[in-house]
Amino acid sequence: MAEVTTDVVFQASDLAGARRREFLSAARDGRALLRDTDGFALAMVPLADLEAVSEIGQAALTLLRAESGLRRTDAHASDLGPLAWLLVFDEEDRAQFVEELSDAITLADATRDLRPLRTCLRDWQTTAEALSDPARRLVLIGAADDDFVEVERPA
Amino acid sequence: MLVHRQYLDTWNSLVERVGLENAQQFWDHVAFTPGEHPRVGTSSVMKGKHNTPKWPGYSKTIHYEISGAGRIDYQYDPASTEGAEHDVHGVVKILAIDLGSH
Repeated sequence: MAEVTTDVVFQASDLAGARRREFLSAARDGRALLRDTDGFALAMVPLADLEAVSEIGQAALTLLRAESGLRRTDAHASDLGPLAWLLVFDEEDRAQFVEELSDAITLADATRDLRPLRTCLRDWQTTAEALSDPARRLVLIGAADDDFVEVERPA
Repeated sequence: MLVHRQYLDTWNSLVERVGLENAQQFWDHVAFTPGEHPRVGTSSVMKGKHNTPKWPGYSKTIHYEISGAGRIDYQYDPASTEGAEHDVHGVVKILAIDLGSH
């Protein structure tokens, strides 16, 4: 997780005073800390950062759960949670997925860019959907043949 | 453009199922830029070890989504010499088409 530091702790009264803009500026730059009148600590952060941290954390938890489930020799859909679609892959592909998702989570955490994470999940799930169709699976993972027919541009 | 015989009937119903515009967009994309991300719809390289080229010179398998209406899986060779004349030309082989549940 990228470390964000701030030296300034604002007071509740600052929100109504001249330091309001300074507080907002600190928040827009990453994080603004505020101490309420009873000492309760609050932080204001950019919404995009909060959503990124939340999504990255959720993905990490999902991965942990899936890894735990995949260690079982008789893994069931319920062991894998939102990643139940992993069951269509064999052990080798599941291991590759875990490695790629781990890398994507690390990258997303370092950059706060969720695209690698979302792309990884979307691409693997797309393939899982394809392989869950028995007829498509047979073609996609089966040996090549040359029983193809030339077709024209749709008109 | 070649379609696996198993999916020829599905290909022939493509316009009816996804509309002429979507069908032509798919065709134009794979005919000219099969290895790029499409301007319309989405595509992704198949994941896992089974995505490898089925023929020498061909790409990995690509999943193409036709505007939420279905998916087409294909491999392509940008410089194939297949055919009687052995001239260099691009070939796209459509491995599978799924228009069922989208």
